[in-house]
Amino acid sequence: MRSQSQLVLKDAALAKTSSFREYLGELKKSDSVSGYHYIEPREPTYVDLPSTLDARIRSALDARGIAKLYSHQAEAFELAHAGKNVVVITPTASGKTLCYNLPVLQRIIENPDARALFLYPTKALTYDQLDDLMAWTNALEGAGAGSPVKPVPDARISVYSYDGDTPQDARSAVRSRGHIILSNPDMLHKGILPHHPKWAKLFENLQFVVLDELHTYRGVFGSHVANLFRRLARICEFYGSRPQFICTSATIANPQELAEKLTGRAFEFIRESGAGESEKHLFFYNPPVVNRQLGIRRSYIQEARHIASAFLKRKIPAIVFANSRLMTEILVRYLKEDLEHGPVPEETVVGYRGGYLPNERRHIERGLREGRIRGVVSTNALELGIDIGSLDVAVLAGYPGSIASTWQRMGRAGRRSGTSVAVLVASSTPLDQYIVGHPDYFLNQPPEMGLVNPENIHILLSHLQCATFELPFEENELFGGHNVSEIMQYLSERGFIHKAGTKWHWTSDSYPADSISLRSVSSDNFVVVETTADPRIIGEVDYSSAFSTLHEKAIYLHQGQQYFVQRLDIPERRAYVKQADSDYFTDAITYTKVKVLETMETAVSHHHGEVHVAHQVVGFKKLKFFTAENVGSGDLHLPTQEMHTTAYWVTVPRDRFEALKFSLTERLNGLHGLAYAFANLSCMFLMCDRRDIGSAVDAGVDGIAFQPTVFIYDNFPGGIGLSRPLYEIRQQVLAATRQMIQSCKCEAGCPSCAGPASNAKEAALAIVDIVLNA
Amino acid sequence: MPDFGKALKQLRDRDRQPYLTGFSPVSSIPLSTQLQFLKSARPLTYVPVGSASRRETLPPGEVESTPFGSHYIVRKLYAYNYYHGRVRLSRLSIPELQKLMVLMKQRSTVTDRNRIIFLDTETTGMQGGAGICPFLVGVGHFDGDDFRMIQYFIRDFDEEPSMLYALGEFLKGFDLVVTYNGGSFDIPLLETRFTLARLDNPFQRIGHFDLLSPARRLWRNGHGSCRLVALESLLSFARGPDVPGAMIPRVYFDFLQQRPSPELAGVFTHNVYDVVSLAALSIHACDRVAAEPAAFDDPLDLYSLARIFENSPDWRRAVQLYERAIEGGLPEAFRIKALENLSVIYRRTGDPARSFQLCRQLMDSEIFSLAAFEGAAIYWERTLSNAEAALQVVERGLEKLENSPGNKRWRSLLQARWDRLQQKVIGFPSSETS
Repeated sequence: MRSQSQLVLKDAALAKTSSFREYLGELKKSDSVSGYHYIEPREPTYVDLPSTLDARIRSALDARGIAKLYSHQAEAFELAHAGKNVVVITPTASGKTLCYNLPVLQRIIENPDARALFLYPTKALTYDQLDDLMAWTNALEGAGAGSPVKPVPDARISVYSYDGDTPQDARSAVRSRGHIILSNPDMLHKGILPHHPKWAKLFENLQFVVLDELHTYRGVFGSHVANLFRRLARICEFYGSRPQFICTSATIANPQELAEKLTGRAFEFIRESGAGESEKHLFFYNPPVVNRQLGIRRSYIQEARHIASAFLKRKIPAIVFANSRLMTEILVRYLKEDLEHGPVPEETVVGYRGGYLPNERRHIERGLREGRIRGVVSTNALELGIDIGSLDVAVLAGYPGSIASTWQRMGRAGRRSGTSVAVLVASSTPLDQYIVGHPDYFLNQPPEMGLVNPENIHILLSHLQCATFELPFEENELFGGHNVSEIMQYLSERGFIHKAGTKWHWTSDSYPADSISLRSVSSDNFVVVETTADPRIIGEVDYSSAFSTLHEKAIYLHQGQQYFVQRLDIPERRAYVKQADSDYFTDAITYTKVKVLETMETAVSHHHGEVHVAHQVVGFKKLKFFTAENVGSGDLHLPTQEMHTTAYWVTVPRDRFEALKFSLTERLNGLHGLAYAFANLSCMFLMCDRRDIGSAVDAGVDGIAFQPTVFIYDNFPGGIGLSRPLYEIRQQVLAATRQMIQSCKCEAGCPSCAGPASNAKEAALAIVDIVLNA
Repeated sequence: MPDFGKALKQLRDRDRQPYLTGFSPVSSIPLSTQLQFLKSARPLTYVPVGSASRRETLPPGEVESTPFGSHYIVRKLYAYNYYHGRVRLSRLSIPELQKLMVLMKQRSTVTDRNRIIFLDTETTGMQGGAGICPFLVGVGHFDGDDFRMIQYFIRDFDEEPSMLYALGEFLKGFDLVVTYNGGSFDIPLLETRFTLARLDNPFQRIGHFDLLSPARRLWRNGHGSCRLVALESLLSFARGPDVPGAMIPRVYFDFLQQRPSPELAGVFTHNVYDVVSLAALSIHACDRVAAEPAAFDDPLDLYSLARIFENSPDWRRAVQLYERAIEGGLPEAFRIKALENLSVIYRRTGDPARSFQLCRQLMDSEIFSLAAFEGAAIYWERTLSNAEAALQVVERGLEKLENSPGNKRWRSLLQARWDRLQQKVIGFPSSETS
């Protein structure tokens, strides 16, 4: 293999051929394992089927081999049956779908007019659940025919999915006949609520709203969805219904509060899972240091590759999680190289991520369930509850950025088998190093809170427009409990709405939901067109990441195959690519400029307010596969992406900055290093995803009265309420940043603390001392 | 290696740990503060509300009161002798309209001319959805030989329930509503508005005839665009200056916000034209199907008419229409299609020889005609019981397809016929010898 020779010696434990058990033993002893944790198997808690459960449901359960329920399933049924809103914490593979399927099916059997709306955060999950529900309704029909309980004519429970892929001519049937509609929040926002009169039958009879994967509704998306439910509540009220909510969530710190914030209702909370758990071995793996001076560790991608290969070579199915699409593709390539030589089946290792076409995804999901595919490398796309059958090992290449995600990903191993293994391989980012250096912190820490800020003015304005479009808005009407008359006045001044009598009406010939996306990424996608032979579409990339992955001369990776980007057509949203076989990949260089628009609060050098952020991809580097050696670069001229958001920033008094006993370059390195470390620790304290915040430095060289500044901003237009709390806890975060930089084992700065630039470490410490004592 | 005993214990206790309750993680910026920032970041660039008098902009009319408030109506009378272009409105005949509707496979029936209403709406948007409001509904109906036009207008959104109520009451006097594209636009929109205003939906008990699809079938081949305004040339009617449909929502919003909206009167006129032209075009459509075609008719229109009759109980009329269309001169593709259809009709009327003659003509034409080869093969096989000759015809067809860029379906259809005929030709002697 051409590049193997360039690798430093592998960890001995990883190279040996031994049995699974022996291998685990060796892994435990490895010096690179900074922490090992054993979770004992747990016996499931079963209870009898609830006495009120319909006979047909009983026999359908019986046909599935279910004679008893897990305690949490029965509890959810009883509470929902009694009319309560329920939120259930469901670890992976704990039978969450029965928690809502049973009460909903029961209700529809009792009252065939009843309707239910099931919302999933992604289309992929919708299809997975649609298959399951179809099996249920078929079983119920069969059960009705055979049992003494006679089926009512036309009693068939119809289940439909409704999303952008639903054919136009099928839509009216879905609207009038569907008992259970499976959809996603985006479709509710754009396709259902604005056309509610067509859905009168649903809204008049809506008894249940099921919100699956509740924990995904946080940040911008969650803030939008909270407002979406305020709109839903208005529409339901108009049609005289008041649906109950059933939410399921992965382990987060505040499921009940999140559910209540999203829906504006009070919830019953089921926290005890009755499902059993297989025994689980957790490993925290820190790649060994190869250069102490520079603090360089061995590549975590390579280490994750070796660990995954070790399991896959022993024929143990494994899932590998990477944190970006690029890393996913690189890992697929590596693992294919390790495993697929000789006459082996083609699909031993595959990639799975957003950007693959739906059919391709279904094919992979099936392959995994049927065991045809042994290894899969995925982004967070497989973190949610898509049924992919049983995998024994989960390898996490890099800390996913949140504790909840880490548990979800680790939970992907061991759905059914007796023993499962999860290995977290740390990258050299400060956050990863912190986690892997303090596994006890990770294990003790409650998982993140789902933070939402439905009161983001941009988000609120968007939904007030949609709400007014859907139903005229009463002048004294509250929205999410808020008096919004000032905001309505603002909208009317801009000509969007108009007051007649006591109501606001929509007065624009545009359709407001059309231009509003619920996700942080815009709904605007680039299509990737392969032109090697006949042109064909091989994938999609969202607008915000298109510039960094599909710029001209980029190497775009898809299913381990490399494509060279020939042309990026921005107006047409297309990228033309050709198959290529290069020995390098590309990494975009971005430039971020932050400008203060308005300071809202100030305490000496610390500020909180509104900023303007301009983000531009200005060039790219060519990095060699396997070694990441820089083999070239290029300039790019791409449009700037801009936003208004909120930020916390700290300024360093100019005189004190200049008085520091470092060269100008070193001082600037220190400033960047501080921003880098500070941003990483901010995530930990705010318990948000690293991508939710951005950081930037203004060295102030072009200002007259410049003050060197470090910005930490909400990485979403309008902000999602992270920078304000950061402003409040700044002393704590700064002190922790100082401690982290100081305790790092490197000499002058490394990727795990202040960054590998000349004297960044000492300079950053000096700067932090200035602002801490200011 | 670190000791995880403590961590493990805590992990085990995790399920029993109280979850956080009653927290407020995001100390959100007060809404009014956020709004202040927004206003300063995006200053107002235009004066939103004007001071134009709404009353002065409106065409003369009257305020009508209902239990739901009031609205504005404008009336207009077209006397018995009014000609819309070259069509006298009072000429509309019920038997002819009934005939048109049957021919166009419409289920509704109508017996009394005074119980037909022609309807068109002007709305605040074209793309649909619950936020689109019909602000002007124009209806026209016969009163004896006079044609009366009433326009229901809302001077602001709060007048909509009153307007809908009045419209609903008025519609009680009618059995059939005629629209242009009302099937997918006006009627569902109005139905939605009645629902939203919690009023009874009057359209549930009234029949509906949407003239758009009949108009397309009658005139698309000959005229291209079948927008109502485009078809007005058939009536020799010219509107003169008109407000473009896409501008109408904006004109109304200007009126609402008391900005000058001089085009508002034009919107009323636009709506009147739409309703009256609809009535006149209905008469013209009746003429097409009821009267004998005129000598100077466009051959393409005759062809369109033939196609309509072809699929009706009156299909024999299609023969003469096709013949006259061909005589008048059709573009080649239409001529081939006309000949093909004609050959099928001849076969159905029991004139196989004539049908066969057309097929032979078509087989020799430059454009490949599947129907011709099939028709000829059927003639040989069924009428003359000569499977071998039929086989030869099919072979000729396949040969011709070789040389022309034929389509796969044609080839496979011919091939299937060839296979069957081949079996018949070979199979016949073998069954005799056994």
